Amino acid sequence: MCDSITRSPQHHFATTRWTVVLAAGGDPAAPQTRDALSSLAQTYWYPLYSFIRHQGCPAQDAEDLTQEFIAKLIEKQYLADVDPAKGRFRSFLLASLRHFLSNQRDHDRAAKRGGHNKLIALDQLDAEARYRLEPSTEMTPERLFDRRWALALLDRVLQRLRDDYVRSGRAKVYEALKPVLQADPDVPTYAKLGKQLAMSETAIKVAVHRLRTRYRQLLRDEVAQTVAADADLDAELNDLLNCL
Amino acid sequence: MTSQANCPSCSTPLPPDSPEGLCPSCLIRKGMAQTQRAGEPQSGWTPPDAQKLAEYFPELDNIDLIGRGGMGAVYRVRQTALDRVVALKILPPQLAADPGFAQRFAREAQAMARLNHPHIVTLYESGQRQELFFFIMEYIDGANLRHVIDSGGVSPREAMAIIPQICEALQFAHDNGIVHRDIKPENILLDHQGRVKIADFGLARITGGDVPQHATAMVMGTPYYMAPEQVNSPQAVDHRADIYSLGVVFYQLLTGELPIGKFDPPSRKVVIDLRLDEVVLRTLEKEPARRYQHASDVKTRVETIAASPALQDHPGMILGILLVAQRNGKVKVCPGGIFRMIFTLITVYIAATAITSMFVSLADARYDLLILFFFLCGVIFRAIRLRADQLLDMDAKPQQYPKQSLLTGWRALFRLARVRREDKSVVWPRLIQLIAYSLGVVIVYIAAVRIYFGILGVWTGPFLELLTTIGMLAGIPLGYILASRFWDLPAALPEPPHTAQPAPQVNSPIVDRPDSPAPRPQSNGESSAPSAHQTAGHGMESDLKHGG
Repeated sequence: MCDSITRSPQHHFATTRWTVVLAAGGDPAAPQTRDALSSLAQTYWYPLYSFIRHQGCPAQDAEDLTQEFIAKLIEKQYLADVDPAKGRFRSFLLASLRHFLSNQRDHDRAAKRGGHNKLIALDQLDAEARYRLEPSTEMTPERLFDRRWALALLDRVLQRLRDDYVRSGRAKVYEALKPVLQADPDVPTYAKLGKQLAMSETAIKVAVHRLRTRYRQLLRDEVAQTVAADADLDAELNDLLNCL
Repeated sequence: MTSQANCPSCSTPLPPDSPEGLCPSCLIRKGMAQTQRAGEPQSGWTPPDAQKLAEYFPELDNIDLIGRGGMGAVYRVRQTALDRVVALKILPPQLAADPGFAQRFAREAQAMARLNHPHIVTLYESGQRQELFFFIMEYIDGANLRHVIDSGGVSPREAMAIIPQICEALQFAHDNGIVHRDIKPENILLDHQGRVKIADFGLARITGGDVPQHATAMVMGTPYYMAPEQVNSPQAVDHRADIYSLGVVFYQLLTGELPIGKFDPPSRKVVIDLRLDEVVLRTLEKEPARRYQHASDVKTRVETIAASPALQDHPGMILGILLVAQRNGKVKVCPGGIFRMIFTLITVYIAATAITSMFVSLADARYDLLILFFFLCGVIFRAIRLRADQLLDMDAKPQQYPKQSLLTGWRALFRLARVRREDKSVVWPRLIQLIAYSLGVVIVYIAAVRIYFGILGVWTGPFLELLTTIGMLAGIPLGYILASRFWDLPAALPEPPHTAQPAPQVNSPIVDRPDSPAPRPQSNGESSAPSAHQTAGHGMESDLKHGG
């Protein structure tokens, strides 16, 4: 993964995780499929969790169900139905989850509870805390799912960006410059940042440019992991923007 | 806690679960494709992708395309054996079709290899792999000047730090007999410490003459940065062409615009040191013989100016400037200036003497009021001066001022100008500080004048009277200087509410756009950031010149 960080999106495309899954023809036995899926699940488990919670499931059950769904996703045959031509991981996952939940209702949930290996380290407290933070809205569960998806994506991107800076010993620079990702700074901001970081204004501008370039690269890369073709990337971003 | 914060950019409320407290919508938007692919090459040439290139260069890995254009493509690569990151520049193969190309390439590459200077991108290697001509050079992890200009402009102070570095590099190259021929913001790189590194020395010559007669993609640099003789008689071009291009860059850094056609001196556009006009205009002389003859001359001049206070900030010029000054940005050549200044001083002296003698029979306490009066005069002068600056600023950059403030005049000035270079959150602390500070100064001043009176014994003879008056009049510059410490044109103007922004301007770093010189309002050192002008995206992906 670290390796992928150093590359720009266009070179990534041949090997994005979702294309790996699709290329394996949905064969869950293929090890690369497994890796790719659990890696994706690691990033996007929270939208799943909160979708399940939103169905009226209590916290403990929701956690189990999320684990179970991810396990099934990786082990079982959901992937056989995927149409590679119009595949976006997000839509696939939501469809699979629905399918899973409707099957689940027919089963005795209690029997299944607790008996599975935990594949993904979901921090339950974190999950519940986040869930409670969510604005209660009139949004449909699907839209909420998409919204959380977008937030999970951004979390992941910012995490990677932060890691980059931390690794090169420039965590302070990242913290100080972070706000420029949402808004263009004005001249006094540059001057203030310069003073704060003991850098010249010009150096700050260079740093801002680099941060933005890097962020953009990571964001596009992360989205690219979940779509099948280059052409879908901007469409996906657009969809995510609309659901926020 | 319950009050929801709004995104400073799009003004929508921030949801409580927004990632790292940043607005999710704006974050996503930043990742969207630019509306126009800036700098997309117009020639049919597509640079080889990383895998293809790896076949040509087995000794390199981690290949990453970082910029491309009609004149080639730049990759960031790692030299496996040396474990260092370098920039690899590939020239379009069709250039090689030109019969003299290989020879020219070899000759210029040799010359470029001699350029070992801290402000010049170092060439490590050049050569040919099958049909690809390439350079391997120092990789600069930073941005180019175009990016910096696009992301908020450059203050005159920064410009005056950047220009001498460019001059140094140019002088060094010229001493080595190399003319750059394509100085422009895209070729001026800045590393992460803000140091200048000039790229593509001599490249213009390799890639086929200086005449922009081919397809647009083949134009060497943009015509806007080219010296007139470069267009008219390319054979006669010498190092002074670089000095012209440097002048264009300088002009653009100061004003945000390109000096096209009949252009104004920079001080007409922005509030800057008036002495810079002379420097900029002289580098932009059409006739090479009338320009500075050496880049080092420009450097010396700029550094001298940077080291001494601006004429208009000189305390002795305050009154003169108040009356004549800034209207045309020509303080020192305005023939009436000095005369009027003297006239003003005499008037003020007579008035002050008259007022003083009015008060002379009154109680001591009145002196204090009198002193305060002079002090306030100084503050008021500052206000008048600010108003003049504001009018000029409005004149030069009407876009930056919301419509209504053009009408509200003084009120707008007081609203906008109350705090210098600081954001709004510190308005009150600053004002309180200002008041407290002023009171302190006035009290000390009054005490000083009282002691002075006491020592001399008030009003005993015309000479002492003069001295006394001068002592009291000193309150004027004191008030002025004090006020200007706190009070200046705003660094950033508040954005007018709900003003629809025009479509973001996409600056093409590579391909020339003959229809648009990409003028951009720009901040000047002390004041005015074009906050309303900043565009969300910039053509960062198409940075051909990066590293080369």
